Amino acid sequence: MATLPLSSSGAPGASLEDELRQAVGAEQVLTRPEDLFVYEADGLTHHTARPRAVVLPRDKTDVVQIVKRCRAHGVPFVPRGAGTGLSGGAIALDDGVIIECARLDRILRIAPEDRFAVVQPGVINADLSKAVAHHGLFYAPDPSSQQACTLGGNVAENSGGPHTLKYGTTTNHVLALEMVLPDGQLVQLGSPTGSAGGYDLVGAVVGSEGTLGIVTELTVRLSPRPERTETMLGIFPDVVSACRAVGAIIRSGLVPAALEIVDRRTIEAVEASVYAAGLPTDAGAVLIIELDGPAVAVGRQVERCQDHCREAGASEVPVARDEAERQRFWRARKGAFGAMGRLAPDLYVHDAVVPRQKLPEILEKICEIGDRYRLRLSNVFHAGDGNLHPNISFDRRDPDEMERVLAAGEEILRTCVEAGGVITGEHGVGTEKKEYMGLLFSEADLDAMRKLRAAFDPDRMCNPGKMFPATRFCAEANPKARGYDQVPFG
Amino acid sequence: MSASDSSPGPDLATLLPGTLDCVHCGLCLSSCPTYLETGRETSSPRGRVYLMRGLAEGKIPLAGVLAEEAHLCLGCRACETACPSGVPYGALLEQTRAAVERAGLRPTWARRLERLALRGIVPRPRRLAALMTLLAFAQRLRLDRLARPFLPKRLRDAHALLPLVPPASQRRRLPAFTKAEGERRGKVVFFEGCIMPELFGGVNRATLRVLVQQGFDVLVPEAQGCCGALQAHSGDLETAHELARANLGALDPGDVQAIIVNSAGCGAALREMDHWLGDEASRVASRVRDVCEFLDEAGLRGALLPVPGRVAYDDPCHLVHAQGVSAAPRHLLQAIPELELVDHDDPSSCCGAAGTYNLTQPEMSQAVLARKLDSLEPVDPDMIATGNPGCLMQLRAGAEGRGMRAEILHPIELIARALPPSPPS
Amino acid sequence: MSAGVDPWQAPTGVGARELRERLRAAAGPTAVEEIDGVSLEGARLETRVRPCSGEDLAGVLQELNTAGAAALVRGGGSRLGLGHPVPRARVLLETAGLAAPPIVDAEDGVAYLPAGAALSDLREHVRKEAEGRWELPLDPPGAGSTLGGCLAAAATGPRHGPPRDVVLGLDITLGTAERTRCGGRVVKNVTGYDLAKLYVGSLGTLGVIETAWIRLRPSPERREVWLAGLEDLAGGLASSRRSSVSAALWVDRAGSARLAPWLGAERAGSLLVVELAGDAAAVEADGAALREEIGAEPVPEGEPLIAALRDLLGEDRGLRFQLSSLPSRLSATARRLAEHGAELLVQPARGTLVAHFLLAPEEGEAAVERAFRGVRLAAAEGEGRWRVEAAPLEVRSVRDAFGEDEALIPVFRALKRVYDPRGVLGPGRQAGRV
Repeated sequence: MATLPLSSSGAPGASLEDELRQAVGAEQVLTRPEDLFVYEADGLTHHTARPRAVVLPRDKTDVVQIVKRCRAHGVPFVPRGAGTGLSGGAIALDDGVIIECARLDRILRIAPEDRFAVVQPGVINADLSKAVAHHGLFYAPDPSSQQACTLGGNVAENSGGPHTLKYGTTTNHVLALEMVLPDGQLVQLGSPTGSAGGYDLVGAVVGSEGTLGIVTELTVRLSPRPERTETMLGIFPDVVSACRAVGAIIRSGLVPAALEIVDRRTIEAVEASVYAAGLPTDAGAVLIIELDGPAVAVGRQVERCQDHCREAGASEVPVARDEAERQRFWRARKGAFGAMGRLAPDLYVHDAVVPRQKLPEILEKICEIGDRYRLRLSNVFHAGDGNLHPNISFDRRDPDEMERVLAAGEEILRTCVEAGGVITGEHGVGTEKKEYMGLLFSEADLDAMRKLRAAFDPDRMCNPGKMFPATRFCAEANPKARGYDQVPFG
Repeated sequence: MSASDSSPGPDLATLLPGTLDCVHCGLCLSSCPTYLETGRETSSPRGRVYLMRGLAEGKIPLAGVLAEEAHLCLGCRACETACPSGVPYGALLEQTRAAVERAGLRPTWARRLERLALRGIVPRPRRLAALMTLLAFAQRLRLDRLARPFLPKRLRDAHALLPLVPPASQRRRLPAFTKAEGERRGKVVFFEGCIMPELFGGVNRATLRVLVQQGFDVLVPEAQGCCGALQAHSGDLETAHELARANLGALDPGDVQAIIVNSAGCGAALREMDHWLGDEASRVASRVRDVCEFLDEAGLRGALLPVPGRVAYDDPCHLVHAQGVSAAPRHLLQAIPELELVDHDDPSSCCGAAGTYNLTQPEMSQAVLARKLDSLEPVDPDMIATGNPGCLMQLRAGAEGRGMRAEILHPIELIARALPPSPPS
Repeated sequence: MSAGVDPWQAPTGVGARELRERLRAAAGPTAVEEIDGVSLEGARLETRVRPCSGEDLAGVLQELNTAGAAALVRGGGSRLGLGHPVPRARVLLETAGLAAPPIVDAEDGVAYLPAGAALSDLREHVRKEAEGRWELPLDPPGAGSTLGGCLAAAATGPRHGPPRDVVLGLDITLGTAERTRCGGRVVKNVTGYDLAKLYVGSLGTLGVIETAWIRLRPSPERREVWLAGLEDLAGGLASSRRSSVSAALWVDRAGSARLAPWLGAERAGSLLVVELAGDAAAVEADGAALREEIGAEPVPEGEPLIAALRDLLGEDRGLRFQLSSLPSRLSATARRLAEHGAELLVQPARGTLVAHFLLAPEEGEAAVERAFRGVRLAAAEGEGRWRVEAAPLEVRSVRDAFGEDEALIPVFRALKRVYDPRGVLGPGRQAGRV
């Protein structure tokens, strides 16, 4: 790739901010201290860094301009959507510029017959499904923040959500991308019908946490709405028995659209909120099971799931009576994270994945860790994927509690890795987990990732300071680096 | 960063607990009209709460971004119904605006305009009535149109919103007592409001007509006055509290089922009187009901006549977000034969009226209105129903500007149309 | 990219004999064999090496780096015609020895499988270990197809989606000889870059896959094959998209003639073959719908017909292209190809077409030119992309085998330079001859 020299500033002496104002309009460049103050954090409140400026492009040519100017001044840049990410991915380290994509919010094309849509990165996830609903289609990846998060952000994080069990994550639904490479070049990756057989760049860019360039257009797959959808609640005495039901359902070869567990603490918080759905507050855990597909098949599958739940100890397994009740269940599930704000000023939403059959034992260990560190820990998670979200309620102003939160978090991650799991299933590494990458990967594994970065962004201008540990570590000193799947290497 | 120029006073520390409820999840963002318009975190509920917390913690000054944002916010409170964590955004905003007001940080023209209107006229029925008479006179002689080119831009914008003032005969206050028709189902107090009788007397009369026809004795206490909502929204909590205190006695004759309000903004303020005045107000506050909510709960009795047409119901922010009422008006409308309720996108988003906002922030107000009209226009309804005077004015002006044919009505007017004629008294 | 000395062209002083010695030291004496004179993919190969472990593989790649000697990587050899020739290769690197015992986790529905094993063996192994509850969702054509070859070529067959969607993790030795892994055994994972996506379909030009974690698919309760005569492709789209369809292939007149032995009755025209799989009730309902919509009939013995279709997809006759098209333009795309003399197999729901062009020797270059022209026009018609799946060496030597966007070639080149800086893995094979 042709790369611009790092210091070939335009007008001599002009500040980057002035150049940006000139390029995209003064109104689109925020530089006052309080403006920057609100951009110091995304959904992860205890990692903060203030950007040098925030720029709001209105089209792709603005993005090209911003990238080129930043590059000319040697100033790094970070794309940001709605800032709902939970790994600190959208904060600007190294005095960088935030490229706020929220105003790139147009749906450019809907092709119902061919089942795809072309959108700008600032389009809100839920808005796309809404816009195509009358065609009988929907956009499948549905992160819990879907009412606010942007599709561009989803691409950066390869976002999942409750329905990835059956439908896959963002990467399974992105057909093509238009992006500005870190040198300012605008390129098209993939096509609405797939790629031609060269390297799968779309696959490499999805989930790259905004480190390979700035996406300016996405072509995404739309899925046909299933003929019938049924949602039921398995009411369990405790989380572990709910996990056992999940294991039984997976083992039986059923592929529900979603298998979500909500524990008692979370139920209590949600039921006290605007998202209350009538979940039983006296249950130890609720397993939300959604089945969808052909009408003739779903009914029988509902019965099979109910049987599995009862065998695992569910007291009852009611099915949502109508669409309104079903929607309420999901609003409750998706509002759960925010509802935890009722317990304490801050919430640390952890994210780790373990093999599904290990869920019961891991859950027990995680609860033990929470108790040992005297923390308020709750669990609401994508059980069908083995994707845990231990949530810790805390107050970042209390340094002792903060320390315990971080220590417990690390212990939880180690526990998951030892069980054959990984340290993030859908939130990304960001700043949050970069120092834990060594739990999972050897130096060579990380180097393989650094190579990809080097091919796209050799000067590390695009979202620097994320994903990779700041310090290189020694694999020998870290015997667990290889322990994540208990399969001997070679 | 220096915060000395406007160090948070002792009462600003009270901001802190409310802001701590926010865990920064961001679910509120897409519900916020000013965020959707600007794409700026600073103009989002989460950003504003972050600024308020920053102020309370002494990290940022009041002057500057926060003071601007406190008034760029529409106060529609759509973020409250999106917030899983229950951040009391409306209350936080009120306190912040009061602090901005105390610190004298608003542009002088905006303050003067609002002070004059909200302290000097709106809460004083005689002055308001006199002004309306004058305005009606001017409108009839078309003097207002002649004067228009000479008005400052902001007043021109305001003028565009103003409906034709009805003739004096229609601006009379309602009788202090009206007896129920047919079998009596109860007794209620009706809160007339200050703007409503002057500009929307028809809506008030329709409300009375429906309540009476449905079997309720209706008291309209003469001592009632302005609810104080607009004053509170503009940061003048002092006047707002005074007005609320005056209403406290007036609205509580003791043995009524409910205090009925047909203006969403007033209803929200009255319902939350106890937030201002404490427990002494909870008796009154807890009995406040929106007229549609009340009728839906009570159940409409008797057959309704057909009102043919396609109706789009648009939720007033202070009804859906501040009072949590959204199903009731729809139920009532659906009960009317031959009335087809049609869906439009985002019925619960703000229309940009927001009290005096359309005067103080005309550009943003117009942008928010444009979004609202964008969602209504393709549906092409015969009628648009919404239950708040500000929204009625805003939507009328907007629909007219776009050449939409829809009639803009309060839902109670449609229900009144569906009632059989009254028996001769 | 800055100009300078191209490391691929860097001269090496290491002779064939010495290289073999070094490779023997790295991979063991029995893993290396002299094959002097064998011509393959434009290369005159002097040595064949077949490492039997990841460690040996890394050793081999290390030696190739040191010597600056390029290798042609081969799994089952069924897809060597894909991509450009590799004239610079000296060594045939066979992956068949990478055959550690597979692990099937029937509880979780995932499997850890060696790249060198034949897919047919792995399929059987999974079936047995999982007691029939799970199946391996890869079914590319080619009898000897290995897992590694299938992943490297991103090869698909009549059933299942693209391999990228089922690969959870990979153990792969890069062109730099570094042994690395990406992903893992869990079904959802965003820990670091999704490198597996980059490696799958890279034609082995970035690294050599050793083992893969694959997400298995629950075995269907019921499986049925239905058949309908269908002249117009467009009429089959809705049927091909029914929810329990596991394979749907439209074959033109020529194809259906070749399928005659498996069709029972004599069929004259083009056909749509649909396989339904999954919930028994859903399969039954969809079967009834197929009968209703396109007059389809069930086929008594479905499996052999699907196998025959798989073979047809991979048949090496003349030129074979794979194209994509918007489903709504499939008919137009197909027509354009047919006008240029292609025999067609179309997967309507996926929007892919396989076009065979028979090359009459007397037509020579003109026939090739016509085929390429037809493919380019057809791809434009369907907003699609294309690649050559198989073609005689001399065609691929002079013509671009991929319809890739020119603007991406610099990115491809940059990737090649970081993962295989010495160009030891199939240099020139990928799009843009990287």
